[in-house]
Amino acid sequence: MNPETKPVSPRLQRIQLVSRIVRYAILGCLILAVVPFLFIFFWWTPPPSWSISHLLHPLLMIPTQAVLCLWYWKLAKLFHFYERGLIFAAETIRCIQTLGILCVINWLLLSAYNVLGRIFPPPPPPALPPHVTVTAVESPFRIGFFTFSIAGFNLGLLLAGIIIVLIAWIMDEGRKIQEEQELTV
Amino acid sequence: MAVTRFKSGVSPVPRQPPHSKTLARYPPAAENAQSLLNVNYLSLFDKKKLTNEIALVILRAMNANKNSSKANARLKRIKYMSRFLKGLILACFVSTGLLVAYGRMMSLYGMSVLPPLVKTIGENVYQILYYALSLFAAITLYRLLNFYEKGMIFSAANASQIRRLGFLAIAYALLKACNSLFLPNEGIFMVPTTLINFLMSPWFFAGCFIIIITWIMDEGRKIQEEQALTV
Repeated sequence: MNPETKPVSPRLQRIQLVSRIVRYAILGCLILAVVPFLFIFFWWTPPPSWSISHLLHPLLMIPTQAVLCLWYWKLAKLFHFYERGLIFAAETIRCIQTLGILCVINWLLLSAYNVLGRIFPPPPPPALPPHVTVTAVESPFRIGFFTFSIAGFNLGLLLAGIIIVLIAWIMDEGRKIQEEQELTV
Repeated sequence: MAVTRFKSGVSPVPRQPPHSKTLARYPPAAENAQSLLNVNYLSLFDKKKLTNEIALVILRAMNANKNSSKANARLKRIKYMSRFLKGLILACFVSTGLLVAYGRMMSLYGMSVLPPLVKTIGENVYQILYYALSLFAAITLYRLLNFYEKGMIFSAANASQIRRLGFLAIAYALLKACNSLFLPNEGIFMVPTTLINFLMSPWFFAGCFIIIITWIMDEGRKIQEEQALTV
């Protein structure tokens, strides 16, 4: 061991270990998220009768799944930065911001899916026997744990994305203030 | 800054500055400034007083504690943004509360589109836990933004608030997984199914990630503090 090299602090060692484990777990999730893509490309067979509603689901599933894969990839990158000891660095905070932006993009895609699903409704299920009646009352408003749904549009993901982006921005500003203060004599 | 305020006025100190030769090529205002500096600032042996007792004791002292104008602008932006987010959270929470109250009022008169009022004890308990968690999460987020508004961005208090949000997300995942315990329509309560639902919940994942990221940031802050204290 070179005596001149600085010993790594035990805290940093712990961070590196945990980050590595989490990064491998995320990469595992990424592989699982890629599987539906493979399924679409290799095993999907077109239905005998072609219509927009039949194509809509697989076509809109591709960008949503791509955003999910990108999200996992960015999360793995974030933990890679932590592993390298870059905790409050500009790259790390930019990575968190990107994760928030991807949440917003995912919300936009899901909303588009929702709207298109209303314009082109899915094919009706097989008819029920005449003596069976189904009554379902759907509420226009649904609230929950940071889930705000108005007329079928869930705003929870949008809200989460915006909050992540804004908190990352606040952290970035804090980092810049710290840097400026360090440079000030 | 304090010295330049007296540039245009007559110097109250008639003493000649010691470096008069070097100051000869500068205009008289600079000479005055130099003399002020010598008399009021450099002559004091306790320089700590200059930065800590600005308004009370020393009139023309430099303010070393003051942030630069750039940092001040950044802090102001952070304050505005935190205030905006706090307002947004309050508005969301109050509006949803009002909507629920309105829906319940309408259901009492039989004109509601909302589902009927809960009846069983289990459903009541589930709803109370559900709203309590939501309220607690909103309060935690509000407190976090309060810290940001005060300019505390990388502090231990912030980390504890974010960690609490992570634990609340996990608690929510647990509550959702155990819904069959409270709601009879959700099927029979079985431990393995509940456990799988809990572990596969996105809220569980999100909570775990929030806790891990907060822990890493807290450790990073401690390392920074240790390094700052090391000479």
